Amino acid sequence: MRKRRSYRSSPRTTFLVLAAQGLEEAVGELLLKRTEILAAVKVYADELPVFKEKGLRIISIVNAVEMRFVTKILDEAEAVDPPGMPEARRPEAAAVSEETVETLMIPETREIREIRGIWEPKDTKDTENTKDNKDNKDNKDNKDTEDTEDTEDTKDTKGSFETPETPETPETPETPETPETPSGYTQSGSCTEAAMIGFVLQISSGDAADFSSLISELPHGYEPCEVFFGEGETCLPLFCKHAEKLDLRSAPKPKAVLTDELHGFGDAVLLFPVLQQFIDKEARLGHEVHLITKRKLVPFFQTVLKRCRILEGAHTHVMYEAVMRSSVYGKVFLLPVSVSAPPLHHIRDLFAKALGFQRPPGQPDREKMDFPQLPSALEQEMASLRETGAPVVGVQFHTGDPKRSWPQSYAQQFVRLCKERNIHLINLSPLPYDLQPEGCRDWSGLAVTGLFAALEGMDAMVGIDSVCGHVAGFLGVPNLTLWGRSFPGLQFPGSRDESHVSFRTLSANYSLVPRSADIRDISPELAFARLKELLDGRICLSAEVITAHDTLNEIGIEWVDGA
Amino acid sequence: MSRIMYFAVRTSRCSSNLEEILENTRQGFQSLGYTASLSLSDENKADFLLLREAEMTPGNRENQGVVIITDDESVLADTNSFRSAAECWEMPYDIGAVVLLGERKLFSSRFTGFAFSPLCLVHIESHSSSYKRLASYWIHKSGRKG
Repeated sequence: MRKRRSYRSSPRTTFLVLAAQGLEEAVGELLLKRTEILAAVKVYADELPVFKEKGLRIISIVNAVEMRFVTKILDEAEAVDPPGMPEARRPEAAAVSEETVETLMIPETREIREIRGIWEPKDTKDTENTKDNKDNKDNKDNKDTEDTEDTEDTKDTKGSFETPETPETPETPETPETPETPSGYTQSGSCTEAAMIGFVLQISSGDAADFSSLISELPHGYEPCEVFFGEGETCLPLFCKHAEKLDLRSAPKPKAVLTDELHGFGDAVLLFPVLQQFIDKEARLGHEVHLITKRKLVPFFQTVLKRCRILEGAHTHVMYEAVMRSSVYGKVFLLPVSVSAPPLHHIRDLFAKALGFQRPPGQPDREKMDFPQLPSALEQEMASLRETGAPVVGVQFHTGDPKRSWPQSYAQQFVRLCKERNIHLINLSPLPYDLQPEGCRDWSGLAVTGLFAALEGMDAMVGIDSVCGHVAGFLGVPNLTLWGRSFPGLQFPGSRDESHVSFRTLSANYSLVPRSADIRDISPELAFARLKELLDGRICLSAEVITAHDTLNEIGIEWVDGA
Repeated sequence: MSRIMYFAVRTSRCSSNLEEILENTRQGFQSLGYTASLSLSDENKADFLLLREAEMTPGNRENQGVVIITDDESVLADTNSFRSAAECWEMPYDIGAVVLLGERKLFSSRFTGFAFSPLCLVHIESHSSSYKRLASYWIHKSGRKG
């Protein structure tokens, strides 16, 4: 996924959910489970009216953290301010509003006490709370794999929670003299002492959250200059206005590596060997490395990288700026994916240079790498295919980008041709259609980390420019790439986004490249013919790493003319 | 111990008013509650010392860094995105930030105010009258939460 995301402007309501002191991480984490948080903001009590004037809807969570209530309030708010320009977003309308904060009071129930129990300091918990905590922690740990179950639990207990029509004590933190408000945060005359963390959410009419508008949404002077870590491995940009007093004595700080928003699984496969060597080098110098990456890549990096903290973070310039300016990190590396002028770089070289290597480090010893094994059923299936003596080939014909995807009819014809010649095909990625009737086996449910074990046992890989080909290239398995939209040595040819970066697989690659950049110019018959030549040894591919120079010299590249 | 920022001028077309940049940066630090001085004699008294390149002396690398003052807007080009600032300007200390003088054409958003790898903050003078952001960045890079 390398196409730049464009943000459509859409009607939306921006919320500031304030967390009572001590509940910041818990509120942040629970909000993240329900929605996308754009940013955390360090808010001072006496500045709340300014947020209101900017049109933010403010919700204060004061005595518990059950997000069903927040969801309800957000739903109700959206119903009051339907898509279109919400009244509250007009400064003049907000200025006459008397209420600055909607305070959410939640009745004390057993479930609420349990939720509280999770977040209270350990030394204040009684035995029962500790048990509750463990139970809840266990539930939390299982959430990623038991989403359906969690949903059912939520349904079961929904009836026991009610939001009062009128909050019992909807206190607004307006009186500086009050040392502590029922809202749970301490106030004082000095705004440097009365800070609390708020979370910025947007409710829009179906569009992705608009990070680019954050600066204008927040009051003047708030800037992304710190990071906020949620309870889990999540990193948010933290907007601050007032400087904190920091300890200026030298101390080692972790280094952060940010992957660009355009990175996909294929890029991650190319990146991780270089990144692991960077992590190892820094570890020898006593430096910790944090990788901040997009949500979908977190499980992959958690599996393949060692000695590195993997954090999930939104990939926007707001986030980059927050990480760069934060006091948490000493140095920050943003891994680029595009270069608008020659010379050509292979993306692996670009990653290596960005991480300070003079030349790309050698490939890691694959024998020592610890990839997940295939599920036993698939292992047995592979063994039985191998017993037939016929070649086994992995395929990937589809990705989210239609210009890189091979047409369905082409894929079907290719599968039929392979079946006629007794070549076993296994589809390794999700398809919007079914190739099993044509005789292609379906392993599309495999996680990306499972592809390593799957492809290691195959004779070749045929696919579009995407992750499966990159795994094959990493493993040195002969791989045939069907190019569309881009060339092996030029991204987005003919457009203003032309980029001189090569995304060829690491090794053993043969590329069929339409001059038109239209993947439909690669016929199933041509792809099949080249596959046969690969399998018969008539095309010999090197296991050496393919360089940008190789690509410029068109080694292993066959240009294809349109019909 | 004072943290030292050396300001190194590398301009070709624009003239730089180094003294004004130093003074603006000093005010940025002070507005954030830190002491900053332009005089070497205040070493160990001020939180930050803002010095000229000519005053550069060998010392603790961790305690000292460089701000490059340039008018070359190619620092914002993506051809620099994977390069270290040290490849462009040889310096005995880490280059932590760049002040970019003159009117900028490549700079369309405040969020592209960084370049190089590792990242350097690029302070675009024509887009910001205050050096507070540069000072805040330097404080964060120099300190940690107690």
